Amino acid sequence: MTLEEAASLEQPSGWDRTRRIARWCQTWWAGFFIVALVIVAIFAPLIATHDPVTNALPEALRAPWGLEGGGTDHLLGTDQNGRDLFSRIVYGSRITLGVALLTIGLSAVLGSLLGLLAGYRGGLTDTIVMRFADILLSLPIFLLAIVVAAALGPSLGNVIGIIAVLLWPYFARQIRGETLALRNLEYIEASRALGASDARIMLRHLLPNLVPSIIVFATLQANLVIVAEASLSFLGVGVPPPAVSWGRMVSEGIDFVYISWWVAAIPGIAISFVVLSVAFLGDTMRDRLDPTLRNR
Amino acid sequence: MGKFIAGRLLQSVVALWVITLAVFILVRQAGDPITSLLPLNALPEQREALRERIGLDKSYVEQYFIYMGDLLQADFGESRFLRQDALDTALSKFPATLELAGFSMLVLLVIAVPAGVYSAMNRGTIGDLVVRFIAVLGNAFPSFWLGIVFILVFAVWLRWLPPAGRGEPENLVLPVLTLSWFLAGGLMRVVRSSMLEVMGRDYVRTARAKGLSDRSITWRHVFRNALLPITTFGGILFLNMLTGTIIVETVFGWPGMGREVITSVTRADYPMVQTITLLLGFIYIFGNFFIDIAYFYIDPRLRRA
Repeated sequence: MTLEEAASLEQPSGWDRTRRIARWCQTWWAGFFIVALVIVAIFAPLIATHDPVTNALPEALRAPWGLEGGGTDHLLGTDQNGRDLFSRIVYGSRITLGVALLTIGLSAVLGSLLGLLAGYRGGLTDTIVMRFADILLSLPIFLLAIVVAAALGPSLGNVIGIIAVLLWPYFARQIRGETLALRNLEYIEASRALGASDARIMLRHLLPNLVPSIIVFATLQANLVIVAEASLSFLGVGVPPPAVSWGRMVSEGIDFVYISWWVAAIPGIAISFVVLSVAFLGDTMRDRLDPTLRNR
Repeated sequence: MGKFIAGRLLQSVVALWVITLAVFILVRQAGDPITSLLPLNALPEQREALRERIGLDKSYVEQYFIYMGDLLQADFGESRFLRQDALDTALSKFPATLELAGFSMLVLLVIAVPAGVYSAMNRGTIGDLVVRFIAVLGNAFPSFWLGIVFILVFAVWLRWLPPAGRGEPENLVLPVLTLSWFLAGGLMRVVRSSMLEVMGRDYVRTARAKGLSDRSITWRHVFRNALLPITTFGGILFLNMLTGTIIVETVFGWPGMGREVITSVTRADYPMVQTITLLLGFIYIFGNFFIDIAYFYIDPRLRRA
């Protein structure tokens, strides 16, 4: 129980109830949105009403349904090339979720294993791994991501690789700290006394106890990755066409903001919804699974 | 303490070296510059001559030593597009970026610090909830998207402010708001949590028992002690702003270093990209170094430890 919760127990009020209900709604709404998005991403070809990449110039810059000039044919309107925005959002969710999942997965595995190794072995291993992580952490990450992406050329693999390389030190630092707290516990000493190898202790005894933290920390980082991918794509050094990225959709819409604001606004709103949902979900998971991470 | 400073200095120097190495490799990865420098119908002899003149005929090891030697003499080469000294060109863009980051920092402090203090003092009330909700909302708008929302509302619909450019004071409003809004939530949370942490200490209870006014307790006893994490975080935010204005400058057509990086990238002007990256990397790394050192001077307790 944290200080905050202790304080709210001392003074029970109507607010407490309201806040709990708000929290509950927040979690379920966020969870529902993310699950829906995953389903949309998987079944994109079935859900999309149009081809997301074929130009249809006569249809260009149609307004969304419900606005002046909009129709039911294009629910969210069309962009400057006449491509259906709804279908592009649907296909774009694949990039957003796919990049987030792969990048987080990659850096979580790499960072957690290195952090585990550094924390458990200590000594020279610890020094080398953590110095290296510290140096990466002291670099201007976003600037480097842009320069690296620009030099290597925009591609899906590069985006994932670059963000993962810059993100793993955060996992390493977090997991190393938690390994340090675990490694001198009695059950670890007991298994060492029984003759278990270092690898066995790390993978069978330490790792399972770290998994909840890794999952929570990964969820809290997911926002960073989603925003980073969208920002790189916005700057034109992210995921290249014909793949559909919400960040690139926003940058294409910027030229038409005066006459057709929805071209930039609709992918922007989609980004905000995802970021907000992931943030809410991360908060809830943190409180449920690992309260020690609070206030991070 | 001397040992700590020496260690951090060494780490900063190594970090800077990592950037120079990364830039060296990346620029050579980015494709043969000869093809972009000469017209398509250039003769092979002309290509060879240019290759020799820029030093690309040498081995990578030799090129690396020449590159490091030049850097140590602050010779960053020439912009390929503008045919001007790359360092001068980059530095001429710096005031614009500093202006943007400086004003954003000011707005950030004026908004986020009082909001965080208010939120901590009124924990659990509707005011706290509203402040925290706004903070979360700020994070949900990546700066490129928030910038467009601002342009749409204040420049296109209301016509109150210009959408782009630099020069007049009103040009500053939207970029500064965009840059500070996105970071305000983070700073506010740090202020709030460090205030809450200090508020739970014994000496605050003593001060309260002594009958001091709430105001005196808040500002003289709690806030001053909560200042250390706030200063550090604020410093890091400022460095991030200084080196991270790329997106905001791109959205608002602000003629600073960030936009210059992107323009140079699209022109394949690698000496320029290299110069700005190294310059911003230098500011970021040594800025961080000084923040760490400042720790010791702000908090005497750390000096003894």
